Amino acid sequence: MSAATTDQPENDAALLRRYRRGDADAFAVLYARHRLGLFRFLAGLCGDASLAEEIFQETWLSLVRSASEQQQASVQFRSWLYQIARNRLIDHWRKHGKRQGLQDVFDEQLHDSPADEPGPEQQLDLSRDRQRLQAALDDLPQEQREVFLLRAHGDMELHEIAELTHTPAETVKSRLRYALSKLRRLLADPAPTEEVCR
Amino acid sequence: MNTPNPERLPAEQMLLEHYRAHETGQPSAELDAMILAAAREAVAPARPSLLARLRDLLRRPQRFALAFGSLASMALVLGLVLKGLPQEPSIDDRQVAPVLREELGESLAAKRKQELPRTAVPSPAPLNREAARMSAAPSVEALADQPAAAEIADVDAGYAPQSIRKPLVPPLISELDEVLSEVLQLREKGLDEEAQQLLQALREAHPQLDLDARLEQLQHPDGP
Repeated sequence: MSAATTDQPENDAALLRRYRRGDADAFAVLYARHRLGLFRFLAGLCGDASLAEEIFQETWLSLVRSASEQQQASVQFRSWLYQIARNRLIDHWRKHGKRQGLQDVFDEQLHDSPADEPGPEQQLDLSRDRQRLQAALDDLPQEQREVFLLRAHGDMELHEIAELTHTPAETVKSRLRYALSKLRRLLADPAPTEEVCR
Repeated sequence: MNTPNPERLPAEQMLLEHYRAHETGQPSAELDAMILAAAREAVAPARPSLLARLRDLLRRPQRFALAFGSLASMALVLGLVLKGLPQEPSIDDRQVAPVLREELGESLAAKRKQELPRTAVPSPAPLNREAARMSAAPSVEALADQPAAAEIADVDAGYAPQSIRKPLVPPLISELDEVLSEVLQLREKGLDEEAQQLLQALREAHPQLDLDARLEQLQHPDGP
């Protein structure tokens, strides 16, 4: 199962309301709908499966303990959920003194090719190796990685990402563009082992 | 499921799809179970207090309260009857034989006395011989007692009732039968638990009675 689509926010809110009124099955539906996307977002962002599980657990339990029914009508459940997860991860990094996203500007200048749309022949050949996929993600600056993952696994629109990360929409757009460009370059050159396996 | 967004560039969409297709990480089954259990626990209704549970118990279905009320009323009636009214002679086979023995013994003893040969006043000469014979013979009372005892033994053997092993107070059999019939009806309706509770209460109230045998008789009046 992948992340939720944009046409389910009202259903998510209704499920949450039902859960708050005692319907545990409603929570199970919400959980099944968002568990994969949220987990893969966290795993891709921190690059550590055990840390991702820890933050994932804290996020859902925080939701369970919270009495809130998502008071703001404009905030979608999905955005709210990812916001909680993001905050938990940032808290963890702060507690452990991890550096975040210091290479953003430098990296963008180095790989600045905003209009770099690959031709058809270049679009076909991307590495499928999980380790390379994760390594390529790890190679992205933190903010670009986050934008890409919110797009890929959270299935969020740019304005939603902007709101969640408290970043201007144009900045989000720019970061996504650079992220896509770099990932394409990193994944377009398959390793020799992959050549043999095809 | 993600549907392609027509506003996104094909290359972007392709890369997004590529990552989604080849990313296999997911939370462990244990983690899923733990989170779902926590969510369920958070909205589970609180266990009612002891007072609330007791109140609920007392408000249980009418049929149980009715059966219990009937039983309590009957126990009260039984207590009053046994304590207040004069005791009627109970039909007790163990008491019958001694009573009969006593009565029969007296009547037979009297009869024996009548049947014993009347001895005339003997002449002095034969009197000595008669006296000697009579002194050797058992006394009248002894003769009267022995056959009576033997006859009573025969009576005992012939009389011994076999049907009722334990006594029942005749006037209260109908009330007990009514309650036992209620037990049978509860069983027929599939209310085995209520039937068993009613029967157990009856057993505790009347430990000397063989209620199971009576139930069997009520269930099969014509015999097995």
